[in-house]
Amino acid sequence: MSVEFRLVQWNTHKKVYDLAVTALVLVSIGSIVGVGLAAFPPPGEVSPPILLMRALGATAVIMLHVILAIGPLARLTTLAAPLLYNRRHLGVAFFLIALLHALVATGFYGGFGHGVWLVNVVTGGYRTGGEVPFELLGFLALLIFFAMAATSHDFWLSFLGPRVWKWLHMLVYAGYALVVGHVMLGAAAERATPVWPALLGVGITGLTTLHLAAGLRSLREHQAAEGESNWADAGEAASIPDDRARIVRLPSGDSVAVFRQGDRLTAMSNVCAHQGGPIGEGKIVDGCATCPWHGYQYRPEDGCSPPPYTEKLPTYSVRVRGSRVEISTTPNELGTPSAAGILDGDDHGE
Amino acid sequence: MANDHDDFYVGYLPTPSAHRRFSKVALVAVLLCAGIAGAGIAWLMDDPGRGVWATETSELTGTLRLSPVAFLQTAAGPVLLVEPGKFGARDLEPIGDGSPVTVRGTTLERDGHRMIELTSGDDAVTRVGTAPTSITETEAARRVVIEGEIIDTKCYLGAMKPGEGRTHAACARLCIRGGIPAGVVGTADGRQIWAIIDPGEDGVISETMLNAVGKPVHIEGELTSRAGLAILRDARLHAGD
Repeated sequence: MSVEFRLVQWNTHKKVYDLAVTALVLVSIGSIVGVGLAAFPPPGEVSPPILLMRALGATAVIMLHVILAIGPLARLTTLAAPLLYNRRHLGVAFFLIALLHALVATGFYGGFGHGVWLVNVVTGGYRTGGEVPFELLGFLALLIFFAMAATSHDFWLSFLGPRVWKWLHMLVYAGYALVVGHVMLGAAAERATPVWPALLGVGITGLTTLHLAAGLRSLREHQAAEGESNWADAGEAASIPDDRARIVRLPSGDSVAVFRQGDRLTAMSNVCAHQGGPIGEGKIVDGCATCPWHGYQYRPEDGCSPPPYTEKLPTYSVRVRGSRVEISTTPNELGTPSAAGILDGDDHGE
Repeated sequence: MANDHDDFYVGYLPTPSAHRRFSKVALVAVLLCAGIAGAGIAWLMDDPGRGVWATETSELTGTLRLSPVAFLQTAAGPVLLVEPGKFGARDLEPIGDGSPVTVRGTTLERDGHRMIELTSGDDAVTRVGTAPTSITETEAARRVVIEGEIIDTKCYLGAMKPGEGRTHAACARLCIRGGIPAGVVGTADGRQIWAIIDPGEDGVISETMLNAVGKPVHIEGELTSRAGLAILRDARLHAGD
């Protein structure tokens, strides 16, 4: 959390994360260049720029898979939260590697001849007619990744607003589809061995499985609230773990996190004001509901971030009826204290 | 007493031990996967061929030939002539087809086929005599269907390795448009074929053939030779290629 925008707020976590990203890049590029040099000695060597181009491209594809795996993995286990926390660093590093791949490819294949080197390759070398050049797919993907990398900073999140920012960054899946097309119509189409289709198949299958598993888990956790008039049932009050929350989806479609702190029950929007993270998968830390994605905090009583921070989330009034907790179906005005539900002494559970 | 975040990760607080262990295992797994995938990709790369591009400038003497492409006729066989970058040899007409010349440049060679990239100075091609010689060697043309790939000869002979295939196609098209002779490599009637595609009066092969560069094709034409240089005349692609 921050009250001002800085380029990078370095801390130990970020430094360790960036070291890990650097290690991934070095291992991937190193293995391709190293094995490539060893397996193809002169005079049958692969030209150094082409070997580098392949190493950068393959590394970018590997990094993209890691990036796309982190989100659902973090939904499946909170232990993966450290991987998610600074994922934008991995994203920016991925874009830079992909950009280098594009620069080497366009410079080497599109340069030294007639015309503009970038145009030469994006258009397939003045190809006329025929199929869509695979280079164009890569170029379009790079544009998407550039937009994402350029707007990854919280300044842009604030400037664009969470909804637009989230929509923009969901384009990563369109970028992924373009990358798959780029590889399948390009590098994979000319290889005698199906190494690229095989690896991409593993990657696509793995990502699909992770996303489906995370989606199914979310469906199971979100209880459909049933209620009459202005109140909705949110389940057994005592079965909400202490300092944790239950996520409830209201008939309106709003997702609400119902927290329990001892005998006190409060409810707030499940959508973090920062990046839309699931507050209900977080925990009460230092008296505040804390988002599991980036640690943004909100006071349970009014949904406001503690000073000097200014984020606010809608809260919902809570009441306890017998052993059940009920929440209001309409949110309270932003920043206003809301009614909490109080459990009887005998109703506490863990 | 345990802290209220000892089982919950927050980026600005100390990392719980379980999260730290998970992160370490995940990192090792990702590094292993990346290393294995990278090694597999590199190990299974296609053979880029045995083209060699000499680093030192050399001189060759022979007879200049300008049709159907610029090449030097020598006792050791034909040597294609190109300029630096993705350009064919230009401005040689004043010297004249059949003139004895010495050329300076760096040689490219693959499987016995040779090319020289001329130096950029005025002395790249020097006339060493006055009497043009006529061609004495011409092979009877025969109709062939070659199963193979259209390539730009400079990259194929060693300027790029590999200088063929799908990903190289954009580069090959630029080379051919720049005047570098287009060739075809493949097989016909069970025999390996390497031939220059006669670009005709336009000096560049057709758009249809340019679009087929780098892809597996069947190409039909009259295979002949001029001064030892294999040439495919009246080339056309088979339907579907």
